[in-house]
Amino acid sequence: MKLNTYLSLAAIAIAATATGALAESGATLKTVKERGKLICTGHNGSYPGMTELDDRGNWAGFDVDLCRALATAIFGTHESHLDIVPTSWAQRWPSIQSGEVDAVIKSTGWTLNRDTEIGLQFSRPYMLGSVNYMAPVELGAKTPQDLDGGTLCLQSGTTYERYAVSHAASMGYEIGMVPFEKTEEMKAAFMAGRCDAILEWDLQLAVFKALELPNPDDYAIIPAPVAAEPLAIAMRQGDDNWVDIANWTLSVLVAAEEYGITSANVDEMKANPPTPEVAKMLGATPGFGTVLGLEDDFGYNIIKVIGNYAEIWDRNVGEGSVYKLPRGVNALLRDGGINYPLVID
Amino acid sequence: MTDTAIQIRRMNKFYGSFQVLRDINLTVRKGERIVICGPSGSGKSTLIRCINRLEDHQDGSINVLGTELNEDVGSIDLIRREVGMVFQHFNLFPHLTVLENCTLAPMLVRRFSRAEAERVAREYLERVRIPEKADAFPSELSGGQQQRVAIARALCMRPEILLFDEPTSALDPEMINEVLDVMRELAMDGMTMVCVTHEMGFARQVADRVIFMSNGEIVEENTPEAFFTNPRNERTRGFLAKILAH
Amino acid sequence: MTDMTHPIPRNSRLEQLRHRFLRTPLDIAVTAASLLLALFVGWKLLDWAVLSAVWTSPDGLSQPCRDASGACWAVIEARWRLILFGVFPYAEQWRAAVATAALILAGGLSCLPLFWSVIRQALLWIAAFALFMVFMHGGVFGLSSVPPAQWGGLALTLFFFVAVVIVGMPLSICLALMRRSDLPVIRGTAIILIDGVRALPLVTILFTAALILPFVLPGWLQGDKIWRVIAGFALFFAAYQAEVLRSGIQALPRGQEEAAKALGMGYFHRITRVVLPQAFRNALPPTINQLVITLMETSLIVIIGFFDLMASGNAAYGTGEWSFAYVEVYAFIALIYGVFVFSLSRYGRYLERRLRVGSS
Ligand SMILES: Nc1ncnc2c1ncn2[C@@H]1O[C@H](COP(=O)(O)OP(=O)(O)OP(=O)(O)O)[C@@H](O)[C@H]1O
Ligand SMILES: [Mg+2]
Repeated sequence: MKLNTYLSLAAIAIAATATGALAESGATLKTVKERGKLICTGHNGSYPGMTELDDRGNWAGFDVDLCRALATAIFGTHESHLDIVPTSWAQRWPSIQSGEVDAVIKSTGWTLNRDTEIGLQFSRPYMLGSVNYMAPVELGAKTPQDLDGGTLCLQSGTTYERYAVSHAASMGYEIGMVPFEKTEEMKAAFMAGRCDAILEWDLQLAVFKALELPNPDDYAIIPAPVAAEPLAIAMRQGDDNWVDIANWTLSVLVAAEEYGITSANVDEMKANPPTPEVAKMLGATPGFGTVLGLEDDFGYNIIKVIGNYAEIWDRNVGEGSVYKLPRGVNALLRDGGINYPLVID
Repeated sequence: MTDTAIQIRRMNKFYGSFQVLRDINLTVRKGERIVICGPSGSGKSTLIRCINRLEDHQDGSINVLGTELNEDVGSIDLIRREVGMVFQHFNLFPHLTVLENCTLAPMLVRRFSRAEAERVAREYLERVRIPEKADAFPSELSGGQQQRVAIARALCMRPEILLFDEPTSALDPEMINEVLDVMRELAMDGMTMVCVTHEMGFARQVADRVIFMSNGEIVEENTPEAFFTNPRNERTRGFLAKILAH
Repeated sequence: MTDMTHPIPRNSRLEQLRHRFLRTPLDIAVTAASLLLALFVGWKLLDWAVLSAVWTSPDGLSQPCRDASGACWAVIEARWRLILFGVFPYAEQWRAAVATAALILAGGLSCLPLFWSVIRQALLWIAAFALFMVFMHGGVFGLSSVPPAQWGGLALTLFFFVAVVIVGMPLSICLALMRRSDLPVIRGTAIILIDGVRALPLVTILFTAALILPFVLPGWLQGDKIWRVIAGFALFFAAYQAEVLRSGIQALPRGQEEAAKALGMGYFHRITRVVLPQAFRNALPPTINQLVITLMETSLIVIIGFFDLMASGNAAYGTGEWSFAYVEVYAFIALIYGVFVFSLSRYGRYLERRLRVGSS
């Protein structure tokens, strides 16, 4: 696409000219505090589960909750301290580079090109975009290997095709490819039973299953991931403090889940912290926030206002939503996933 | 001196390297009626269009009502107010009614009030004998009627001089006279007129002087009497022979 | 059959139809089949859109639609405010409604012959924009400030369209006049501008205005993204409209301007009273066309992150509850665009009829 070429060239050119004005450590936090508002990316429309709008035009979704968590970390609340500006995919990089937004939280994958040439810095991944198969329950497939000898409906020319080929090769099963031009065609073929499985980001599969398949219970997402794309918060390069704040905000969410702290019991936890770590994280003892340039109780504020990782997941994409996406690889380490908090010492 | 309306001295005009007008000398006194004739392409239109500077000249001088014509835009607009022009193809404004055609310039240029402009317009429409068409659009009129409106439009500016560029040659024969009648009346009222026309009857009756042009030059300048009965120039004779045989 | 040789009575409509569609058995079969098909499709459509449709959902959820086979108009009931006003703060959306109404009203008024003068148009639109800004943007008279980033839906689309036309139309006149100037510098500038802008795709211009300019312009010149984008879009509109107008001007006989000159009218009056009124009249059909295209093209601003009518339509069905109902949402949006386009083209037809009286 000509436009995309133009845009990535523009983004790189901007990054090149903007490196002179490289964000220095602490600059973003200072700007945000002076402004009294965090400016975060929304969507130009809707990206189900991650960024959508309720009937009253309020933003909702996993990405939106992370924006709120970040604003809450800084201001103690996101009410009137957060502006979510509608942002298109193509607009993400110029927006962050020009300072129009403070962080890109927009289901964005962490890639080499973005990290280097476009001049961005990424937080730790907040979600693995796990790529999974979905097949009719009656096939009885529990693992990808069970699809051996079957067929896969695919959109041709996408990365999913590559994932499927290499996964099948390395895991020793064979699956026939039935390529289609468009996603809609692929989905229609799958619904018509012209192939045994489809391959997609599991959230997209969940959306498809919950909203488009006539009998959602007749289909199952096969849990074992075929590939994964790490989604992370993108920021301007050079502001280490800002990256720290993003990382520790994310870590608080995961740690709270790990320690059993929820928005419901956080007050009690703060009053009677079970461990010194929890005490520090919730601001019962000092030292957690100041090192980041925040208040010591920012961890408490996040949990109190937004909830922990499990609550965010559940509300937006999990059981509490229409999508009912299982945690899968995004579960805590102890539950068989890869999610873990950083260590507070 | 003040009774000189137009004075042209040693005037030359070029289109690129092509010389259209050569060494033109012409003086028109106030109240004088001049008829210009000559073969096609001889420069008649160009000459009278120089008088209100629809065309510029390259050499010599043109003085109209005491004002020298040059690059000065302000003086050009001043002169144009005082010099009305009637075109071969009428050039009425098709998007305006007859009355609006007549009031537009007086209101914008002469700063007449609407009431005053309309009063004047109706007066002149009366004089050109189509008061009843005031609210019609030009496209609803015959050619002769349109040309009479065009004359009224020019008159509404209360000009000192009127230029006519073949006002009847785009008209059907039966309409020519209604226009010539109006022009004759104007002449009677003492309007200064410079008139390019091949209506020799009109010239003989009305003109104080007849000017014959050929190849961009004024070849002959004479009273109508002398011009028609005893032309001095060979080319004039040839032209008259052709036109009167017609 | 002697009937076949009878001359067809020209005046009978029915006979003509019969002649055209029912002459041979094959004709009859084809006609019958097409009629049946049309009936079938029409019936299906009617059934879907009206008879089996779900019009309302008392609890604001999509379940009643999922149980029915017809169209789910309940999605409009639940999401119409999102479609009309996008992410504008919910409690303040009455303001967006008033602001939008002001624009529509001004648009309607400007079409009345009473307002057909440059000064009245200018006053009308200045008033409309002032009203729009007061209500939409706020920040004065005790209204809270709502920055353009939170504008959306129909309100944003209409504002954008009107602003582009209001800025672009005078600009196009300037360009068209510059283009026919006697001074080579001015004419050259116009040609470079017009051809340069027309060489670029609209999206490129929009992207540059929205995203690249902030890196190039000094801070005080940047303004909000929306103003830069409107400026860029207006330039694009003007480049095309200038050529439309130029064609209208060129269609004028040379004598028109000469007659005006001979009456002593200055350049400004010649242009505004003689040339432009006729040029616009000549260029009316392509101008209306240009306006319709521009209205449609405003939906491109979605890719630089504006929450216009298309984006808010996408958001309206882009949630778990309603994502199956995209056809209904798009039908509703098409209806909205349709109303405006239809009004525009009807007005164009009316103008053409009305202006024909005074045309040459
Ligand atoms: N704009 C122009 N550029 C170049 N040459 C021109 C231009 N206008 C007129 N001419 C030439 O100048 C000459 C005089 O033209 P003009 O119109 O004055 O003639 P005319 O005597 O009025 O003829 P007619 O009786 O046909 O109207 C002609 O040879 C014509 O070709
Ligand atoms: Mg001539």
